[in-house]
Amino acid sequence: MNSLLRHRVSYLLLLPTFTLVILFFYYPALSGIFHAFTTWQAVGDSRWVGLDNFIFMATDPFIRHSLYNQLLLTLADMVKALVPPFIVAEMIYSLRSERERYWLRTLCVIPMVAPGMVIILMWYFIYDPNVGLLNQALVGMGLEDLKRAWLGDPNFALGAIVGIGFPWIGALAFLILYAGLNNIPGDIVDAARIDGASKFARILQIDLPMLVPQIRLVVLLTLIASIQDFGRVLVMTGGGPGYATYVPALWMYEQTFLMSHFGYASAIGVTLFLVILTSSLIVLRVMKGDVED
Amino acid sequence: MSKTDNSALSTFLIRVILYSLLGLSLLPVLVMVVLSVKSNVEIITDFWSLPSVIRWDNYPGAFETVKGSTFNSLFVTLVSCTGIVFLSSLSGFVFARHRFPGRETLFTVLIGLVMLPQVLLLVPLFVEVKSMGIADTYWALILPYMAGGQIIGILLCRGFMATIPQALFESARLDGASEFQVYRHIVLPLSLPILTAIGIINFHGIYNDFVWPLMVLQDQDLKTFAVAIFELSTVYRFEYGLTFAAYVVGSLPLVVVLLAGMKYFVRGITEGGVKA
Amino acid sequence: MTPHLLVSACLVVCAALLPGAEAWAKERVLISTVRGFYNTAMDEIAAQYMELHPEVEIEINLQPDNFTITRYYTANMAADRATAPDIVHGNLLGIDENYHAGRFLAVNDYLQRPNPYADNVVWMDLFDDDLIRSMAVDGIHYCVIPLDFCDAAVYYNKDIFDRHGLMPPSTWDEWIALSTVLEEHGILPIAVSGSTQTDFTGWIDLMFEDACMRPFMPMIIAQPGDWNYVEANDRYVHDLSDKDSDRYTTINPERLISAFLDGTISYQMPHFVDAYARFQTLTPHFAFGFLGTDQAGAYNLFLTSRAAMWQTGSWRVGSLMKDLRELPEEMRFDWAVFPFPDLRDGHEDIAPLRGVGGVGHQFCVVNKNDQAQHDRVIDFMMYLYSPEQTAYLIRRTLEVGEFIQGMPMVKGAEKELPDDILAKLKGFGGRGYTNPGLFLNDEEHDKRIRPWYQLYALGRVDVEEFLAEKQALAIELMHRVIARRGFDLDPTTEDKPL
Repeated sequence: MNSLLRHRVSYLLLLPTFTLVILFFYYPALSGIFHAFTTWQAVGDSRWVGLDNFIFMATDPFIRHSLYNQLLLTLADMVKALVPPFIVAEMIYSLRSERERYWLRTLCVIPMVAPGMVIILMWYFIYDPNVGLLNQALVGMGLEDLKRAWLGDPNFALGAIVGIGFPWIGALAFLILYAGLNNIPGDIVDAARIDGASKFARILQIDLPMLVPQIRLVVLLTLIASIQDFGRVLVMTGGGPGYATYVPALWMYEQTFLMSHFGYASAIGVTLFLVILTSSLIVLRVMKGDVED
Repeated sequence: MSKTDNSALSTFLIRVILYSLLGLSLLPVLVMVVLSVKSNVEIITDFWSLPSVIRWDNYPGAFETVKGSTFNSLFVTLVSCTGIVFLSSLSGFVFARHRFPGRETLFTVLIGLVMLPQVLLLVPLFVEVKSMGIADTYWALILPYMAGGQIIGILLCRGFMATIPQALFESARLDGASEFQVYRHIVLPLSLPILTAIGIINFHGIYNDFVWPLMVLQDQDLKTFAVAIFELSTVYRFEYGLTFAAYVVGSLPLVVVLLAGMKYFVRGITEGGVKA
Repeated sequence: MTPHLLVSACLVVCAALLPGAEAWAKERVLISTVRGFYNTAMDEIAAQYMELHPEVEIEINLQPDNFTITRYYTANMAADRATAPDIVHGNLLGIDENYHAGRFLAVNDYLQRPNPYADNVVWMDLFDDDLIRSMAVDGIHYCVIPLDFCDAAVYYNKDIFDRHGLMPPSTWDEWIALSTVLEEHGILPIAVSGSTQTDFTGWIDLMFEDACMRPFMPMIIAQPGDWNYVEANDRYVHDLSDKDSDRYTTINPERLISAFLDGTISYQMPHFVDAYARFQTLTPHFAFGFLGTDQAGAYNLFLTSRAAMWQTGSWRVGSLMKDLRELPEEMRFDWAVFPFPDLRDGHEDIAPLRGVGGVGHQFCVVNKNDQAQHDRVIDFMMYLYSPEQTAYLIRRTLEVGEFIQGMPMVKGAEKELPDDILAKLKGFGGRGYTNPGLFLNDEEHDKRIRPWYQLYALGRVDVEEFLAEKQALAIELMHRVIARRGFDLDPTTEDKPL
């Protein structure tokens, strides 16, 4: 107790941070986990029902379809977050001129200045089946056969959502990977060149292994963002046609706001949290690399 | 000899590919800007033509439509970022330069929160905010943003502040400065670059946030930009010209802030990425 | 000590004298409504009322569309009823559920009182009252006070029709045939919105279900001794071709549910299959990619003459007229409206399609368990829904260039409509009113059947599969209704929710 008093200044200075964190993180998180086991709703009683919500989730066709969609979407998001930014980072890295590299790196980040919702709405416009950019371009190029109902066809809708942001050079992922590349000690690169290794061999055997921490970071960030974000689905298709683009987070949102089933929604939230937690732990376990602290 | 030719050719190819890809990245934004100066009828009937006359008359209406929401977004974002910067630096300082019982535990507990996804918190946070009586106010956005954004900031600040020479602190404390004064006069000025980075990164994240404002703000006057343009898109007649102009207007704060702080933004992410 | 007390006392007095304190002492009425529904005029009417009654403060909260208002309402009712609106535009809200959960007020008593703003005529008599009754919960609790009557029908481009020698269809087959002709000439037949922000299936589902359920009326109508029996039920004549045969009658929900549960009524019966199969013959003629577009997209197709027909409701008449005026001369076209054609084809078990009326502007009063507050709210409603004020509403709305949603319900107010709008609006209506069914605006029902509706519209799922799903969902939700309302399935006893 004495030492606590002695250090009271430290604790006092930390108070604002921890007050906010307890109020807006811990308390809601615990409340969410607790209420997942109840029939919490807008008006009416909130009864403890044990695992009922989770059992219902198992039979809910929305959950079944949305989990499948989410799997595909998240895998696609991973590929989008790693492959194009990595290729672009390597390409820029290979250029000689320092100035040109700096300039290109800036160009890669420029797309970030457009608000996310604006981009989603622009792509919604691009995909419009009759007046949208994509179909108009296909017709203009004489490829009318390729015209599709991008968002209106259950076979293409999920793919259309994946397509948002083409060519998928995510600025954040790019910067992280590029930073990692630049951090590879120069003498290792030189040694490889002297040994006569081809560019591709160098990339595979040196760059990629050394980039594991960065790749891991991008994977984790993408995982968390992908599973939680339903904004793009809400705007583009509302989950349809049919179940084609439903994601669990969207169903959770609708359960909350259109049907007031807070308990069930919390159960979905808890499940998604467990999925994120488990996947993150798996990623951290599988991708062990250098960890600078 | 052939090796140089080869490398010149490959460099050229790489340049072509890079600039094409980056051009494609910017295409939607370009389309938006071009369409914002065409009249609605022109867009519907004659899509591909460049505007015959550059019509700025979409802009006054667009400005009227989104000025409220753009202001809301800007206000919320600025206040939140200020709070985040303050909290990150203060707590980062305490964790870096103070020794006290439970320091490591508290820090781990704090950083572990990064794992908590928004998805788990959405519903209970909404109900909590309602019962606190702050739903449908700016606070419903600002406080959770500050709570969340400070975490990474504390992590970054702690790392940075650990590197400040001890001598500076010793002399200040010998002079009788209180901890808060030490923070204000030594730590803050030295940390300016990383604090700017934290501010800009959070600015980008908060300005773009869609799901939480959608849920918690029902008062039309308080809606943020992302929510407002989403709701605009569901209005009966889609006035393309006006709508694109509205997108441009609302993007301006983000454009200005990011372009101005680009250097710090990149530096912040880069350093964070390296530390991974 | 004393100086502190003095200062405190001064502060308290000042605080009490501040204008804020005065407003706080006023009666407040919060109205929640949607943009595009007579907004300017309603603001003015509220201001006029406040002049008449200075002790009242009316605040009007505007939401952009029916979906956000649903979210707004849900969010406000979630925790604190005190901050919720007093009057809410309840277009998408489940009236049934809200009433039985005690959230909406039934205004039957109030409707029988004299309206002081209309020469003390009984309030109910001021309305064209069919619509109120048709929207009554269980047929007997009036919770919805509609301002106008709206209906869904099909707008068509007369110029395109004339050019190809086509006439508005009177049967479903004719509709398919003329759509095929249009397609051969490279014109999109029917523009319709498929996105979540609208619900093209909502009206069609209502109409089709009503047409197929009417044969069962004798089974489900409230009998003498039932808790919601009314005398009008005695005068019911079972004649499917009479669109008004069930006017003023009530259906007993327990009889309805029992009939479903024991299989006497089922969505999978042959005449349901026949009727719904007709819908699937139409959907291939919806504009390309319709499920991926929204209202704006559909509207633009029709406006630019790329689509010859447009399926939506009467609330678009005003804006269509305005937008056509603003188009360049060569793009304007002549247009009219035709109702959904007859789908029966001589089928005896299917009734004619009826109107979905009342989908326009409908205010509901929120139950705040406060008699004085309710009295005040109703007083304002009486003011608004009086012939003089409603006429003012229509006139002013037209003056400022906003839109009329449909024929006004308060008798006499339609005189304010100019001839051209009146002519167009008359293309809607006159087809009776559908029975709302158990799940009208039930969010859970709508959300869960929606994916199936979409796939069925695309033809990915055949009509039997779709109806099987619809049936299963109905049974499941009926059990929830039973639980929620404490039904004992004995139609003679009125049950209270547990």
